[in-house]
Amino acid sequence: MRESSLALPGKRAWLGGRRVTLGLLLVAGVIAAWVVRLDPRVLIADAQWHQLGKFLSAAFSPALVYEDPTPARDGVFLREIGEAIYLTLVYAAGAIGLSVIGGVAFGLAGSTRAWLGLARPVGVWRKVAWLGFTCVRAVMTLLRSVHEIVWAIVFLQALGAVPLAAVIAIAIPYSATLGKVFSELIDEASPEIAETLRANGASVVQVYVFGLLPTVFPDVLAYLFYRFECGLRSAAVLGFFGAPTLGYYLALSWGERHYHEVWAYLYALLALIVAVDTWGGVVRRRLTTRSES
Amino acid sequence: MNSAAAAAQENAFELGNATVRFGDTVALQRVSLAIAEGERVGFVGPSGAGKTTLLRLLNASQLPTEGTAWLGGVSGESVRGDQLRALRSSIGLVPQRYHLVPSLRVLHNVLMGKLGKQGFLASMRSLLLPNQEEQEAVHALLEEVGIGEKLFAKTDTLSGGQQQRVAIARALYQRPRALLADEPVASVDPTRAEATMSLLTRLSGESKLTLCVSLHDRALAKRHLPRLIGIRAGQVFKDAPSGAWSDADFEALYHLDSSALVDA
Repeated sequence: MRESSLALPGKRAWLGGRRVTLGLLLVAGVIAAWVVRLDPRVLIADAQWHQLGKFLSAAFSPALVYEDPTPARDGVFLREIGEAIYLTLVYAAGAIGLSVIGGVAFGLAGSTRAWLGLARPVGVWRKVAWLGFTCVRAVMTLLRSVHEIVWAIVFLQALGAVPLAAVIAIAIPYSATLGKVFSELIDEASPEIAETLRANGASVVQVYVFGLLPTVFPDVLAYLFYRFECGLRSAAVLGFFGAPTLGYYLALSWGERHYHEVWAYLYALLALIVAVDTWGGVVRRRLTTRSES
Repeated sequence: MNSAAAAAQENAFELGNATVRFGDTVALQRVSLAIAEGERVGFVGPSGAGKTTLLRLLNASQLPTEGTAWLGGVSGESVRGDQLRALRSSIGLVPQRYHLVPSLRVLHNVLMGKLGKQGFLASMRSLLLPNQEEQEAVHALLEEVGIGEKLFAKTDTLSGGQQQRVAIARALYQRPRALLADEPVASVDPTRAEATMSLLTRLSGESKLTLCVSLHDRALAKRHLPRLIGIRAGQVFKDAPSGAWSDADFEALYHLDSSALVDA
């Protein structure tokens, strides 16, 4: 019986590649837990329960005025939050604006279709196209693999604490990430539309611009909204490094253990993210209306 | 131009022993046929017999591996670049699954029919800022195919039948000499199939367009197309006026032998 069951057409061996991979992942998980000392007893013994309790309970009463009005931070607390929200939004929008330019450029230049798919170069031109494609992808990977915080440290060093440093720091890895996603969307877009337009006499560039770009546009836009959300978080985090965004004030209040203020900033960030998400949802719905038939 | 080419010029399409190979697979084998200007022809035959490859030959989307393919007196092999685009543009293709850009308005999808006749900047202008004249021309074509009111509708809000009409309008906007339709009545209900065939034959009659349609429905084919060419296993099985096609001919054309079953 055993022998005959192996003879079934297409039957997989008991120890296939998938099971081996899952097993190895499980072993890796156990090793990782041991290396980072994932021990609940340590967690309980070392935790500052008192501070944690104070911080968490402050969640129910975010500050509306400064908890300690005496230091140099004069002015109205809510206006400061308003300014921080505004600047976070401006930094994120500026970074995304630059990233769209960079991302579209990378998306077009980094797609297989742009180099090899539509024009179908032959002979030595095919090798040249491969080289060009590989170089663009390599640059994209390089820019993407360095985190925006590292870029921020580099640019704050080089340009000083100017807004542009933070904006560029976010825009560099974001351009490469957007470019990667855009180029893959372009490569996955329906080849039939391109072929049909070619059959009707369209040139390679026309097919690219009028056949492929509009096809991927709704997905690109949806992803762009998600990146805007990420941009808001990044802009806020760069506040820890001196940019006048939510993170800057968050760090100040945290240092002074003004947890009610901390929560006010966290809620402000939450409100920003929810607002962008809602806006994106509305746009997505409008873009994806389909008929019932 | 030699005498053979001059003779070919009188026909919309003329294939001489055209063979198409994809690697080891022979899609079409020594196909010879002539289709006169303004003629209406149906290609019938089992799936995978080579009908789509044949239509691609007639559109210069595919060149014959051996033999000749004259399209309105021009061979696809002898032209390149803009001339090849002009040749393709002179033959409208309605693909089986329409292949419209779903996120664009109907107007823009139809405007794309002219891409083969425009340079990049001209097409950019036309698609981004279509002028009154262009909008009226597209509207007139949409009226012609019966969906004038959909001019500014987003294409993916249209039903399948309406999208097919947009694809037909796009091909007509090319102002082609010939119209090729790849299985326009596959997977549609009988009423719509009849309507589609009536539309195609009417359009062909009005503008003296050569019409080539691939299809399976023998009754529809006989009713709307005066000449039928049967394709089986990459070869011409029978080429005759549709009145000369008997039921026995269709049976033989579609008959599955055991090797065909394994191939499918």
